[in-house]
Amino acid sequence: MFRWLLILSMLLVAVTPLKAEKQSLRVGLTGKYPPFNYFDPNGKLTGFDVEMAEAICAEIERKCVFVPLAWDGILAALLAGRIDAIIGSMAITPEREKKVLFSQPYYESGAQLLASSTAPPATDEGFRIGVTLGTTYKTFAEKAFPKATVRSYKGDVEVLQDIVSGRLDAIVTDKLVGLYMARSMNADLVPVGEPLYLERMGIPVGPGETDLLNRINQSITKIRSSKAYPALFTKYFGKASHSASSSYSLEASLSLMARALGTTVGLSAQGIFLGCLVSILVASLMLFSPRSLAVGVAFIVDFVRATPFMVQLFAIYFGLPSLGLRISPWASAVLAIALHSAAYLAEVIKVAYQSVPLNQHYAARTLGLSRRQAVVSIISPQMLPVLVAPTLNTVVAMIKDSAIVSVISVHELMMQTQELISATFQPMEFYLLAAFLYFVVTYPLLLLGRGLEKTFRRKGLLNG
Amino acid sequence: MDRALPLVRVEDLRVRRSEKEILLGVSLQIVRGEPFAILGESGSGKTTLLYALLGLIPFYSGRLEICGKNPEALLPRERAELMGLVFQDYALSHMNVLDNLSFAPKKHGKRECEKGQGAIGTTPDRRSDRLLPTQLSGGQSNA
Repeated sequence: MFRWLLILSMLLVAVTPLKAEKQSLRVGLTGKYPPFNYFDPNGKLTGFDVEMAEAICAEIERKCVFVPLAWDGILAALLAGRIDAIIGSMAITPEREKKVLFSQPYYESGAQLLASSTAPPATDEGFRIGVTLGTTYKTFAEKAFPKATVRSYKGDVEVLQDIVSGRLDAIVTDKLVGLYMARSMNADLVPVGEPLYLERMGIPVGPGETDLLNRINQSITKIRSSKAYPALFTKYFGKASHSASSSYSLEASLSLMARALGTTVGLSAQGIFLGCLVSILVASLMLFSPRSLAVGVAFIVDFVRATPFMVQLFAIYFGLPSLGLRISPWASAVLAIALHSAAYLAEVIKVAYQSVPLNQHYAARTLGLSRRQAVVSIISPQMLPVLVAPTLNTVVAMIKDSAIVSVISVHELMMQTQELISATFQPMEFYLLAAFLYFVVTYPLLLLGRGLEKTFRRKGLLNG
Repeated sequence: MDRALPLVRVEDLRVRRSEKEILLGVSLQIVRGEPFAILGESGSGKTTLLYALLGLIPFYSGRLEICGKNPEALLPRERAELMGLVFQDYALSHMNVLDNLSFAPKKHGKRECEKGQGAIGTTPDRRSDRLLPTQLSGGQSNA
């Protein structure tokens, strides 16, 4: 409740800039960058940036009003006058300095090698370093440590997990982020050498706001030379202080996971339903269309069945926009699931159709039924027993494979699991919980398939 | 109908199935009331001939007349009223005995299924009309 009031009040502030009191300072940040700025499990905004902002506000005698914004729109909001300053770990770059005024840096960070205390020297042959895929850290690591092996990972959390389990010796990441994560995960990591490069984090204000800038600069100088500054650093990045700040209650994580399971079920249901419709059409084409067309359709079905689901997902998600089709992650995921399940189900339908003896067609037509009538009232009911088990198997496989769509940022069960792990650093617990939740959905389907198959076999409608 | 007209007349019938020549010019006539047997080795084309007569598989040359009509030009319903076929494996489908028997009449819009029920009366066990074909003995399915 409190969290919603907070967000609501922030939204109100965001849309009514003119009504903001003179005493307030509207501070933009994302609220998604622990430990610098993030919402704690109680919905309270906290972190190094937030405490720094409060200290600055106290110095310049204004009241901090925090406005959470998306990172890619945060500078635009500042230029539009919707916020007065950004205190959200923004690095000072020449490009940004062309648009806004930057304060002096309020902290410095940069790429840093953090190694396990039991690791060999970083200059050794075969020293194992992990980095997050798609960052510039890989290039830096390879240049600085030419004898080391550099491996790419999905995220820093995965790298740290592998250091803890002894598969890696070190990580190259942002120094402060790395220290914070190492502490949260109880990983014994120490910075080795100097940072590979330095980034200076400043506070941008709107162009022309020189008065505000001067006052902020003065307060930063004052805070950085006070005793409170190192204390703040120790609080968030020091070795021995309070434990992981973002510990979710069991209840909160369970409700998040349950909601994500709902998303997974909804997504799979939409995709598979669409896939069913398409599969009937595709199977009809394979069975009843002219030979050349049927062969072509069968080839496409084989192609889809013989290529990985993840590749198809990426082809849809990244491929369609390049053809000028704008498509949301959710729609891409539904389409990919529909495509993949349609191929499997079409094959299942085709085989079931062929399993009904030809005599049944002849007998139906001898009784005066048209081809269509024969298929609808004589053939289809006899396909059912053959269809049921493989269809449910396909559905189960598809629900499991839907975990893959987390890679295109669809917020389903797998994505939620990984988010909770990166917040709580409890991989074992949450992966087991995720497995259990998938099982709760898929196992009844497997049981249903087995039960129906047994019934059909008892009635003699299914052989073998 | 002209009594002298043969019920079935086949002239030089040729049938191919999956690129293979099965019937190489069959000719025959069957007149009303005459028993007629087709003999031949297994695989010689007896069933294919019957299927072609009933219009279940196409023929690519020759002539076919049932009661003076070309079966290919008839609607499925009209053809069914002229001809029937008892299949080797009876071709009973997924339905129970009563439904199997009354299926065709129902399909053709005949509401009462007295005929079907009367016919089952000859099966020794009255309850068996709700059984599925796979639950019947060989003799029962034939009856």
